[in-house]
Amino acid sequence: MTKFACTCEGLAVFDRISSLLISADRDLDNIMDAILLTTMESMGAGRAFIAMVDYEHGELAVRYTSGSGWNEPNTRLRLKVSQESGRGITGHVAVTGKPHRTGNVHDDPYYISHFSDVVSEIAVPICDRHGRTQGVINVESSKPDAFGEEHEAFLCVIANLTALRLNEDLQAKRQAALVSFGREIGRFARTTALLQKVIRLVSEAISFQDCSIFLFNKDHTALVLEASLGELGKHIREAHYAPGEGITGWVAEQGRPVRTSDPRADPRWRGLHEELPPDKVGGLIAAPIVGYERVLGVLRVLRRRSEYAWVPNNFTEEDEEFVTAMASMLGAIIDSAELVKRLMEVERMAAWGEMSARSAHMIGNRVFAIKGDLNELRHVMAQGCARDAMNPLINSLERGVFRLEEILSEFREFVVATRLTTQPVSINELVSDAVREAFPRNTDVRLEMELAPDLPPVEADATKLRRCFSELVENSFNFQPNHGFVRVRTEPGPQPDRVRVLFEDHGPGIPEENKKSIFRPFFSTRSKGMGLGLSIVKGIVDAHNGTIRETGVHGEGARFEIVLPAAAETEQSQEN
Amino acid sequence: MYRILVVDDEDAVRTAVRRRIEREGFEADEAENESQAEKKINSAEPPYDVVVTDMVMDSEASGATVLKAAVSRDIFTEVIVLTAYGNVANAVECMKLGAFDYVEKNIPGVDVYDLLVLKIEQAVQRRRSSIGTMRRADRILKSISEDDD
Repeated sequence: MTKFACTCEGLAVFDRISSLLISADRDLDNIMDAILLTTMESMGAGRAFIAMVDYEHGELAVRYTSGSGWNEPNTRLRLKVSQESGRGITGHVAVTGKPHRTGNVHDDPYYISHFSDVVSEIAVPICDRHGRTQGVINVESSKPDAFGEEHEAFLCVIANLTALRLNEDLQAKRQAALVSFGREIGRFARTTALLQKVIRLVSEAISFQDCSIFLFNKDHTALVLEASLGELGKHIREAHYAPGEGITGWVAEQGRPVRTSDPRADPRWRGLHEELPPDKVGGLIAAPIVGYERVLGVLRVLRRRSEYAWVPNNFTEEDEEFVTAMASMLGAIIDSAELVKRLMEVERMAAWGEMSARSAHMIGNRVFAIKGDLNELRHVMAQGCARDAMNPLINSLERGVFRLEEILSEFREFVVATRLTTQPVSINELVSDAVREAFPRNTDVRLEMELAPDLPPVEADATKLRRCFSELVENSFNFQPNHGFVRVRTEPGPQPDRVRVLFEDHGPGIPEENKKSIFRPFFSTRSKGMGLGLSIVKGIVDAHNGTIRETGVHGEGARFEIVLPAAAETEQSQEN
Repeated sequence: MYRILVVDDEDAVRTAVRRRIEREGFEADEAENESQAEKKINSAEPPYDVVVTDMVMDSEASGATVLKAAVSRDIFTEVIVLTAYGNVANAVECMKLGAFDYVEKNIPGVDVYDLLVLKIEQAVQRRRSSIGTMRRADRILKSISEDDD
């Protein structure tokens, strides 16, 4: 051990730097700036910088700087990397992955000048666990022979610690991507938005040039392209593989991932649908999207072949693990969405059964009454009675037919309630429109509106949802005593991606024993109407993947609580 | 005059049935749900001769509730159950509990009101004969006990 590292001062520097590296600060830039400054000062250097490898362009980009002389063009310096001499010490270190130290740069074959005052220079590579150069730490001094072996060893330790932190950050990013994606489970997002989200999350955690998602069609006979970033994006829903065809088809059939740095050398490769020209592909991961029962598709990530031999851009085992995990999670989400869809279908069928039975019962009753009137009419006519005696019967017949028509029209509404044409809409606007539409102008019933600002838009059929809100406003109003009130509120939902709408009143409320039945078709305690109102309201809310509950206290008033999912974030709104 | 109670939650149905049976010379009364029917059955003096009740009103078991109330009040009150579409199974249950018969409200091409009147007349006859039988039996029992004395 040399003098520098063994001194208490040296240990204190290590302590400071390692504290910085393990700090909870998530801003990597802050940490790197602080480390660089500490390193430079403790080594008695005048200037220092860290350049990071730009894998795509095969260049080193100056990222963090410390010391004197840095100005705008300098800090944006990009260093071409080559193994030839005279192309820069930093580039040389990046290529060889070995430290380089010089006591007089003017005698060094690799040196090129960016600052006129540099005499001594020391540069060490920051390598990842696969030995690949991620960046270079460079420290300079205007004094000759300013750095010794001990400085080199010290800087190597700093570089290794930095590599650890960079790796931890990458893992954290991947973990965050998985967690963020996990939240999608049960959210029932639109599939297109969901696939876009996968691609975005994968791109944040792995640098790649292209990413595509193939999903099996309904009868499981072909893998169809559903999402892609680049060139292949023009062939969405057109490009497809048969199971077993090409690497993608093999992955789907075997349910196992494939990682290769040269797809063309793989005997399974067919090159049918490529994101990049075949000779440009430098790395490929194809991971199966596994569902509960079978493989649902394939997630494919590609990296461009580097033009610079020293820049490795094949994917690592960790990359493969991450892509596979993301693909599995996507499988779980697609499955869960399917399951929810099927469950809702079952519920809907049950509602249908009940609706049909109750309709038949009601129609039967009306027809029975109409037949009674006809029977009486025949009797009255046979008796030779005057027209006046017939009028009440004719009126009753007309009422009977009218009620039959009412049933039919409500029946039709029940049928169409769940056929939605959706787009992102403002919940506050919908609520305001519904209140304007349904709340009478001249009344002594008080209206209170509390609309929370900044609510996310909901993916809704505006006409149907407005009708559903109007029905609730009208319902509340109709049950109000004189000088009662109707309160309508919007607020954030129980989760960030939900919104809640509340309709409260000061009417009689719903008796406990009726709470379960109020959303059933034809349930009504009102004499007018037929009670289909609330069942249609529920049908519309259900169709929006929302929930509706009555949470009021009997005797104090009714309280209808609707929770709706926010519209799935689109790529555009993410960027905004 | 025979007294008949018509129980149905539909105004139009009650009106039509009542009108039809009054035409036949019966005296009719109405109840619009099972609890009202129970009250009327318990307070009627003399008891109703026949009760015509809808099968399903507040609940699936409404008809059965009215039936039990009627026979508890007077074992010889005859009960006819009206069923709308799809409730025949429940009506059969009522028959097992002692209903006189059931009439489906909707039989295509049939004047169910005439059918109902026919059933009511049959029910009235059975009630009359049941009461007659009981009175005769009563007399016989009395005469036997007098002979014993």
